[in-house]
Amino acid sequence: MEMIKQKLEKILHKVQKPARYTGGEYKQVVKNKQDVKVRVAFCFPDTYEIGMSNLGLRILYGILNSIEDVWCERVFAPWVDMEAEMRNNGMPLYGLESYDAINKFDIVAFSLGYELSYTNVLNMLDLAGIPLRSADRGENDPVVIAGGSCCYNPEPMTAFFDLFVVGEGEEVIIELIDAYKSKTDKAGFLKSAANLEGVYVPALHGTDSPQPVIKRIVKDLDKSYFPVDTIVPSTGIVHDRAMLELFRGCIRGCSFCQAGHTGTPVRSRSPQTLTEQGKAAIVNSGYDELALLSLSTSDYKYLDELCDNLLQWCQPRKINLSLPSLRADSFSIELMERVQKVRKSGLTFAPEAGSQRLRDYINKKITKEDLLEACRVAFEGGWNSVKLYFMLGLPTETDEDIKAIAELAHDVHQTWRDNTRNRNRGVRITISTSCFIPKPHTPFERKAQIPISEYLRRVDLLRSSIRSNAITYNWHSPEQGYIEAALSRGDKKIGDVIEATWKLGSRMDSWSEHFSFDSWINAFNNCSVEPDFYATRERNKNESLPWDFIVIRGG
Amino acid sequence: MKACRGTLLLYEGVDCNCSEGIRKTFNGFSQHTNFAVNTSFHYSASALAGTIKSFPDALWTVTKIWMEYNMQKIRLRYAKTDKAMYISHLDLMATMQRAFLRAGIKLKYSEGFNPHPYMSVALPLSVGNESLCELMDIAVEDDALTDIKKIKLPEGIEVLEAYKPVRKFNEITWAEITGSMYYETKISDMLIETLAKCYSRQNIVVSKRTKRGNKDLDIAPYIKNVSFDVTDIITMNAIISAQNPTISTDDIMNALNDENKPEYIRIKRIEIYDSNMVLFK
Ligand code: SF4
Repeated sequence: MEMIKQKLEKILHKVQKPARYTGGEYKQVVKNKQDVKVRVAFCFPDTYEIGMSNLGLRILYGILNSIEDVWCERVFAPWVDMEAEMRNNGMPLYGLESYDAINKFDIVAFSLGYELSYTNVLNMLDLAGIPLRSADRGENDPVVIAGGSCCYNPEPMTAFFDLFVVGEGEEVIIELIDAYKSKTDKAGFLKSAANLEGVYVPALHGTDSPQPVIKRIVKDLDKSYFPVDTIVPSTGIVHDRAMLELFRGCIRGCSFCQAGHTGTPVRSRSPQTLTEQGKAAIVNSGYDELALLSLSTSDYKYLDELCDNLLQWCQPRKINLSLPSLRADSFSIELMERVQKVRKSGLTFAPEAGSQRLRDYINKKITKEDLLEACRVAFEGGWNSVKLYFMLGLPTETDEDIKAIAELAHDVHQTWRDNTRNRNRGVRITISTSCFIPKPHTPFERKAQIPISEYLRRVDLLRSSIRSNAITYNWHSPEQGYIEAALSRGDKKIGDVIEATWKLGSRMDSWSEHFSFDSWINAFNNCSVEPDFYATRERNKNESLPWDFIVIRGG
Repeated sequence: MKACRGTLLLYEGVDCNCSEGIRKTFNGFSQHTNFAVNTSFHYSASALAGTIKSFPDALWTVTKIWMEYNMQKIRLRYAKTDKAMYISHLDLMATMQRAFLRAGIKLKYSEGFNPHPYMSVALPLSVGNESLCELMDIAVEDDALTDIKKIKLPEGIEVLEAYKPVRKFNEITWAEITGSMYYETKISDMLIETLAKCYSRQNIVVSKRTKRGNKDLDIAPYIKNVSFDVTDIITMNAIISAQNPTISTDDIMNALNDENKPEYIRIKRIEIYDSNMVLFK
C-alpha cells in the first residue's frame, strides 16, 4: 500500500483527471484487513466515470461489504495516460480503497456489459500481474470471475475466466462467497460453485454435451438490496445523480433487443418502496437530482402515483426528477412536462425503424401517430430539439424503409411548424443511425448483419433523402458495430482473437478515438478467423449456437 | 449601492434592451460570463432577473443571480489535503454542496431560471496543491451557525471552523506556504544554496501566462521570507502574494534555471493574511 501511495504521488500530477485514481470518496468502504477473510476486487473494464455510473457495481459493492468478513474494493480501467505511467513506474493495478495490488486478492470479479471492453479486461489482468488465461493461473492467483449481460454468451471469454455468473448477481454472489469460505483450494471451490444455479465453470463443463446453465434472477425486488446509501464521487461521473430502479425486464420484447429478452420476467418495485428509497437516496447523498431508471419507464404501472409522491417531497427541496427511457407517446411527454422542471437539452425517441411495416416486423410497437402526438405536446410545451434514433440494416429492410426515416423526420418538422409557440427560435431535429447488431437470445440471433459497405450505402441513401436544414443526420461509424457483432455471437475461437488484438495494442475499444479497426482485422487474420463468419452470416435454423446451453426462460 | 453577482449565459449577438447601467455591463459578453454589477438602481434579484429575462427569448439563459445584500452568510474554513488535493475546483463545489445538503444545511438559492446555491471560494486552489486554510462563504436560510461536525466530506477535506464573515475576500493579500520540491537526483547542499540564492535575487522575472499571451513579471516583490528545510525532500517555506497577482506553482518553478528545477512542486497553504500580515478572517 505504501509503495503504491508513494508512486501515485509522483505520477498523479502528470495525468488527466487524477481524482479518479485516488479513492477516498464519501461512503467508500474501508475495513480492517485483520478482520477480513475474503477480499474482492470489483473490476469495471472502463473508466471511473462510466463504472461509477453503473447500478450493478453499486449493488454488488453494497451487498459484499455488508458481509462482515468480506471487503470489496473498486478497480477501474486506467485511461491510456495513466496506464503508461503505471507501466513506466512498475505500478500494479490496485484497489481504490486499500491501495493494495489486486493480484493478492481472493476474488477478482469483472463486470462485462459491453463486448468492446473485452480488451480492457485483458489489459487490466495484465496490469495486475495476473496470468490472462485461467489455465495458466495457479493456487496463489485470485479466482477470476465475470458477471453482467455479456455472460449470456460467455464463450468468447471462457479462456480467461474461472467462472461466470449468468443473470442477476445479487443472490448468487453471496452463495459464491460462502462456497469460497468453506473450501480450502481453488478446485474445491469451483466444484461446489458449479452446482449453484446461474454459475458456469468452463473447466468443469462437458464440452461434448454441455450441461444447461440456467440464468439467475431475483424474484422479489421489493425485498432485494438497493443501494440508497452509496458512494458519492468527488469528481464528475457520467450519471451524477441519485438513482432509483423501478423494475427489471421489459414487457415489450422488441425483436432486436437483448435486454428485453434476457431480463424476463418483469419484476417491479412497489411505489411505496420506491418513494422511501428515493427519499433516502437523496438525503444520504446530497444529490439534487433523482433519476427513475428502468428499460422502459412509461411501462411502470404506478408511474403516476410514484411521481406524485416523489414530487410532493422533492419540489420544496429543489430536487429534480429525471425520467429517461420514456416512450414516445403523449402521456409520457405530459408526465415529463409535469415532473421535469429543469429543461433538459432535448427529447430523445427511438423509433428504430422508419416505416410502420418494419416497426411491426421488429415488434417495436410505436406508431407514427404516437410519435407525432408526443412531439406535438412537447413542441407546445416549448421544447425545440428532438433526437430520433434508428438502426440501419434491420432484417428485411428495403430502400423504402430507409426513405421513410427521412419522411418521419420531415413529419416531425411539420408538427413543429404547426404547433410551436415561437417559430423564430427554430427547431433542431437530429436523426442518428447505428448499424443493427444481431444479439444472442433474441429472435434475430440467427440473422446476418449487413456488411460495412452496405451500411454506408444506406447512410448515403438516407442522407440524400433529407431535404430540410432543420434536420441533422449523424451516423455511427460501422466498424465498431461490426466488431461488436463478431464478438457478441462469438465462440471460443474469438477469445484468441481478443487476446491477439490486445497484444497488438488494442484497449479502450469502446472509445472511438482509441478503437483500431486495423488492429482487430489483423488479429482476426493472424488467428485465421473470419469475422464475416460471425458478423454477416445468417445461421440456418439447424445450426447449433455457442450460447445454446445458456437457458434464459428458466426464471 | 447594491451588489449583484452571478453567472450569465449569453449567446452571441445579444441586443440588450434594458436600463442603461445593466446594458453597459452586459454588452460584449459572450457565453458563460461571470458578471458583477454594482448598481444604484433599486433592483431586487427578481427584478434583475426580470430585466434580463426581457431579452429576446432565444438569446440568453441566466444561470445564477444572487443579490449580495441581506443574505445570511457563513464562512467556513476547511483543509483540503492528501487524496482530496486532486479534486478540481468545480468538482469541489459540487462535493461541498452535496455535503451541506446531507448535513441538513438550508442553502440559499439564487433566483431566476435555474436556481443555484450561493457558494464562493476565496482563493481557488489548483489541482495537486494542498491547503489548511481554505475559505468558503455560503448563504443560508437561517441564522444559526452550523454544527460543522455534521458536515461529512471525502477523505482529505475537513471543515475546521465556521463563523460569520466580517471582512471581504479581496482584502486577502498574503499566503504562507510550504512547497515540497521533488527531485529525481540526490539533494546536495549546493542545490539548497542555489535555491536560496535564486529566491533572494533583487529581480525574479518569470513569464506568466495570461489571457493575452505570455507576459514577463518580476515576482520578487511578491515572494518573501523564503527558507528551506531538508529531509529526503526539500521543503520551501515562504510567504507569497495570494492574489493580484497570484503566485502559482509554475511561477515558483519558473524562477529556477532548468537544471535546478525539481520534478514537481507541491504547494501547501498554511495561513492567509491581509496586507498588514494580520491573519485574515
Ligand atoms: S428496446 Fe426497449 S422497449 Fe424494446 S424490448 Fe428493449 S428495452 Fe423493451
